[in-house]
Amino acid sequence: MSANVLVSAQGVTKSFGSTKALVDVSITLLRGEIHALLGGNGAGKSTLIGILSQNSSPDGGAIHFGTEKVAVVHQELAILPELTVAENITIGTQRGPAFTWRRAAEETERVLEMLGQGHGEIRPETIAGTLQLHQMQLVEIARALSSGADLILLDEPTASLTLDETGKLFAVLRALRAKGIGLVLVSHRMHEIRQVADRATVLRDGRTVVDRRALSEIDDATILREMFGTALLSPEGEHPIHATTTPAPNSQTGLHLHHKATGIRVDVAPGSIIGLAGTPQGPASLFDTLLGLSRDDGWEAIVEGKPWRPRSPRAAVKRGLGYISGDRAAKGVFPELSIRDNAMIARQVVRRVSVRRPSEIHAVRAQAAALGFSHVDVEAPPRSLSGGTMQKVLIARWLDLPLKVLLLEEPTRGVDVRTKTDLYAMIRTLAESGVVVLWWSTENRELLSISSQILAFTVNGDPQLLVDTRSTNEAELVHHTGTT
Amino acid sequence: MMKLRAMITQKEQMEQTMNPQKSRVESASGSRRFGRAPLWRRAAGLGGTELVVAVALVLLVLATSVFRPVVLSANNLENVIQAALPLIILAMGQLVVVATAGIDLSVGSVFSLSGMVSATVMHSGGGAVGGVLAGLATGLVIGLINGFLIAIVKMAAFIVTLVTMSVGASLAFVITGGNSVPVSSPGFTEIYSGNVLGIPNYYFFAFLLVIVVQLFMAFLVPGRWIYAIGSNQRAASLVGIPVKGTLISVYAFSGVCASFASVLTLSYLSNAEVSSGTGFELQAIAAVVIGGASLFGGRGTAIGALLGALIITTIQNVVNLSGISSFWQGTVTGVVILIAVLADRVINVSNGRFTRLFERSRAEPAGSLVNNPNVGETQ
Repeated sequence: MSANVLVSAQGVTKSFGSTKALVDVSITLLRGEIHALLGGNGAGKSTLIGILSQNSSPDGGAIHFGTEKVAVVHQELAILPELTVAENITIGTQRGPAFTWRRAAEETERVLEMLGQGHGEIRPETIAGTLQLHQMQLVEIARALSSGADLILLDEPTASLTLDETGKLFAVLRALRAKGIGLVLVSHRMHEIRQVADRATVLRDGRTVVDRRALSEIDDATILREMFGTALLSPEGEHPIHATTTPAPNSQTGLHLHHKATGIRVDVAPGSIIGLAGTPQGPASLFDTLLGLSRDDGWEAIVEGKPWRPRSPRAAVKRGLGYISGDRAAKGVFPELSIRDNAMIARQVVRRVSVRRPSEIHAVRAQAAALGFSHVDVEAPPRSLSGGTMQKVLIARWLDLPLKVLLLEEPTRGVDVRTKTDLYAMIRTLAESGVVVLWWSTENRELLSISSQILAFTVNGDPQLLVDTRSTNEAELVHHTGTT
Repeated sequence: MMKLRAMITQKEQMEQTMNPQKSRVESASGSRRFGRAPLWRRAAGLGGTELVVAVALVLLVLATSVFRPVVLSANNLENVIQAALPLIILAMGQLVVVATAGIDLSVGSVFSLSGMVSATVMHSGGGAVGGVLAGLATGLVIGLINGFLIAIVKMAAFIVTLVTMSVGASLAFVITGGNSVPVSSPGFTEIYSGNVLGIPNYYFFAFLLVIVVQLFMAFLVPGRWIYAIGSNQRAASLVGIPVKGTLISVYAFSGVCASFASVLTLSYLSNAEVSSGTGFELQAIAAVVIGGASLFGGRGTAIGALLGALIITTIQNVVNLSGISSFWQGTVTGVVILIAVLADRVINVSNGRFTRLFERSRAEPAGSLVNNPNVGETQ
């Protein structure tokens, strides 16, 4: 096997109990290459990453590793927030009983230099928890480098990054590639993959259907067809789903927002989907106010003619607010409760239900059938569900309730293209029933296709402009949100 | 429901019927805990763990009966259950606290203090009723203090209940100068010796409490809130669950359980002793954990806690009967807790394979799930 080959796998299989996660997977990874790993919900990408990172072993097939040094950067970052950057980077490789700060700092500087962050904002003594998300990601990559990794696996690294930050990350990845390090990128964003990856391997139902194809030789339509087996989707952006026009708002219905510092007013009619774009600070503070998490973030809100100032999320929920986050593990899922409990929990609060009835099981099964996961045992815990399906359950939580306002925070994070389409349809249906939907996402393209208007926030968190999606495009949006 | 159906285009409906294996990976490869159990058991939240603990209990008794047949005598069995009653009541309170991912270290001291307060009030002429109310009020007050500091001031449960444990124990000495106090109100012993429908009061109250707690947590929505808070407190808050109120309630309930057990025991012993409750809190925690609860919250049933309490008491009984020095009790109980927790992992882990025994338990704190690539994320 040539020294260039980092991993060579043929016919790999892996099962968990009766579930066959990988049936026949082949993949070849070389040094100095950015390799995209694509596949839909449940295709086996996570399992394969587990095997490539040597965290788990395959049941069958042949796999040869050209190196022992493989590092993974997960979607949810494994940063130690209370420790410094230097400690985060070097803690795994410290030898000897004493932790030498000087050596750690030198190593940190060396590695950051390799990433092109030489004298940038990240210092060895910075406390990791104070960094921004994309900087934490860089620290994790630095950690991988410091441990001498020849192969770095990145799982959905751009999920919560703005366009600008993504560009910076990709520059770092190219620098690593130039140094001969192999990189694997798991992503659902086709246009980003084309920006940075050399080759792609596509998995479907646990099999490799496209093996090491150069991205210059394959188009998006083919990739999607291979991912899903049928050509049922148009790639994001080619045929944007035009948002329907909504009736003009009047003062007794819908949501009216007023930002005190800038004087900006936003009037949203029921049934509209409004996108929130820009750095997280701005949309976050708006959401905090609407959720009742903070008393005064500079926003005033009026819902259906009455002032909206809930004292707590519970008060907000009882008055008709729903909240769905793409950060499922932290803000949405109850891992010890059954899927049925997870789906019913908001309804029980809003409708003041005291007793769990067996009829709930039927309701959840009906939802499951309609939403496309009817083979699930609803009394089982949600551990067995994939990200996209779990997100469907979290949205289902708020269906058939007297909702007035629905807040979405990166709702399609870590969700594959096909499930995204399902989710868009679900939200659109919710909106059509008269709910005001506020959609906060760093994926501008998504906002452009789903919302009728977009509220752009500047880098310091103030709202700046409300634009009509029919008369704007991605470049303009980027300009308004100041992220270039 | 019509809205939901309207969402799926015809194309996708057809696609679903043509491609049923799409949901292959989403079939419950998850925990076997509920998988194939009959509906009534699943509904009541009873799973493999409770069954295994029950079987273990029976096996323990049967095994002992081989060389000490007296263990199966009606007299002995009655003794065991009677000895277990205060622990059972305490375990109910501890269960609801532990299910919220909390802990209540103060129940032992509440037990001691409630007894002293109750006896002292009766001694000063409060009468039996006054004694009962004073005793229960002690537990309630301490429970509310715990709940307030934990839910509103947001201090760690371990620290708060450690403090109240320490304060409570010392107050028990302060009230009486360290002396034990006899019960002076005649009506008080009625509490113990009376009966309801022919069942002695103490048994009746204890088992009624177990049933009430089990039904509450399995079938009532506020009971699910307890599990939800233990499972993911932040998500619980965001979905509208009254987290603060629920937490205060569970600690108050735990305090009242401890004082309730204390009052019942007092009516039996007719003498309040200063350190009668020492060590009870650890036994209650052990009972709850053996019964399947996790200190990380989100799991555990009243029936399980009942069985755990019975196992602990049975171990004491078996050690006694076997002629082994009672000094060994702690070791035996400790080993049993270890086996119980490890066995619980094997039963409830998805793969079920023996190798899983050595991987990290599924019941990890909600925060650490974010680092697990296999939970709810892309595959």
